[in-house]
Amino acid sequence: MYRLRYDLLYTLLFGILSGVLAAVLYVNPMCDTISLPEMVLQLSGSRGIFALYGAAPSELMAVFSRFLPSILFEIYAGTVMYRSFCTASVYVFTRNPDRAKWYRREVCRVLLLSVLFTAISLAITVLLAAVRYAVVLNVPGAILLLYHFVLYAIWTFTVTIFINVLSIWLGSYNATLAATALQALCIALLGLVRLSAQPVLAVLARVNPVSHLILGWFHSAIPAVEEAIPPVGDVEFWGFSFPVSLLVVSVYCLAVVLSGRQLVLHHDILSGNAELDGV
Amino acid sequence: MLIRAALAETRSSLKQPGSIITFFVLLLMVLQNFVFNVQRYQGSDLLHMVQPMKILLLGDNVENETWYTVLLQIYPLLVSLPAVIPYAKERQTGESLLLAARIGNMRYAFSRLLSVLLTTFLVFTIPPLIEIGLNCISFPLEAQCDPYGIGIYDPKYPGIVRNYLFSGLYLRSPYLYAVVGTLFWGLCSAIFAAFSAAFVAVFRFRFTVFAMLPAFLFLNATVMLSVKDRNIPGVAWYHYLTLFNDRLKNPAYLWVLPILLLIAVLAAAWGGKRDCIG
Repeated sequence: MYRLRYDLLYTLLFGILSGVLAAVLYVNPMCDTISLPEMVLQLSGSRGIFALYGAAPSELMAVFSRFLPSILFEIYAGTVMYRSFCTASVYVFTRNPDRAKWYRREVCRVLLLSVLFTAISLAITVLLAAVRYAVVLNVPGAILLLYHFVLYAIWTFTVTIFINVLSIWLGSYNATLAATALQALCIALLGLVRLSAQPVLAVLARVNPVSHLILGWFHSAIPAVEEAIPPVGDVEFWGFSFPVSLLVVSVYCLAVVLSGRQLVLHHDILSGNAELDGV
Repeated sequence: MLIRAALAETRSSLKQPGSIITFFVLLLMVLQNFVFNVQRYQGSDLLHMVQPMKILLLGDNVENETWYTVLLQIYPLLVSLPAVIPYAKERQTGESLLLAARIGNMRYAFSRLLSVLLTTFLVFTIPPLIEIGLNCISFPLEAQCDPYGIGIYDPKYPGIVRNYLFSGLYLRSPYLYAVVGTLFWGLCSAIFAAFSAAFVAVFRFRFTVFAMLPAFLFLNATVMLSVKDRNIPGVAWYHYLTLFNDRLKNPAYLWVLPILLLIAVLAAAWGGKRDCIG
């Protein structure tokens, strides 16, 4: 209980920091008024009213820096499950003989922290933006905000579990580096959007999980939401939509959670501490 | 004694998996870029051939930007891998106590700082220097074209060149500019690693991943603070560290490098003076 309280406190701090950074750095209206849909689209890569459609490294670095607060949270929460393997793991698992049950509980803990982090971050962003500018609230904006919340919460949770599980195997630093490098590669592949006429690259763009976090590339069956998203080049033909993206991101999430379960169940806790190269 | 200890630490750090991984990640990126260039420019007319230094990985090869973009994103993490992480592990396991007992705490702290600087410099400099060598061998050295299609007689060209960090050197010799720029990249990487190492010398981290946070946060903060307006000097680290970057610069910002180094030296002195058992 003490540990959970400690984690919740850190999640709250990371959420506030992330919300403040997003509101100050990435919510930029043309004048003093910004609509909620425009604001949500800016949080997921759009610049002004224009969706991300550039391959320039500076443009993609701007996308990466939008992910930065969540990467910091992932670095912290990436030790939530792993720390039980790091210090006194024999003690932890003699008290928890059913590792599957322990894993389920830890996954729920990480899920709770990820959802809270995303919710706090978004709430602070919207509140701070409302203080700085006149935010026009509307129904399409609320729906896009919900899409953003669901997709980013699942993605943050997936990466956090990935880091936790990989840390058991490789140590915390190598796992974080691997997870960040994979995310960086996915972001760099967004630059191939202009070449999407090539079938292989189009498939690559569709399986890239980060493509499914760029709300500016979405279509919606709800006319008001469709109207709120400005059209963008070739991406219109890719058919990104909330249900499809939810499915893709959830598949990645499920794959990570299930393979993590296998690793946790079969990890030999006497084999050494990955944090110290087996010392 | 200090130099000998630093060289021994450097040799040991260079054999660590972190150094080997970083070196090969950089080498693979460089080789991928070189192979792409060979395929792209094979049989090109000399008149249309791009200046061989402008298609280096660190020069933002405009036709092959994917790996350059990945490098920019993972660099803040990668910079601590070769030397800072082994140092943090040494402190975690208590191995540092054995070394400090043998050579003295102050000497150990400074030899570790020197080894962080040297290891990171070597790991980050050698792969880009290999690419410079390969490009010099494989492409015509007389080629003058710009990858953005701007001719050297274009009125915009002097303005672009003036924004390069060592523009005077570039005008003398683009090849010397590339070599000096690569050495500068290695030196800056070493200083960023030393900045992270400063925190390792002072604090004890429970998880090694937290040891890379100082450089990671500092470098990413510069990216976040950089504005899009090209008339305002850039503050992002890659505006200064990469080659042929034509973003307007304020060389005064480079004073941050000696400041970071000073922090590292002061931290090493503090770590060396402190009771190492505490």
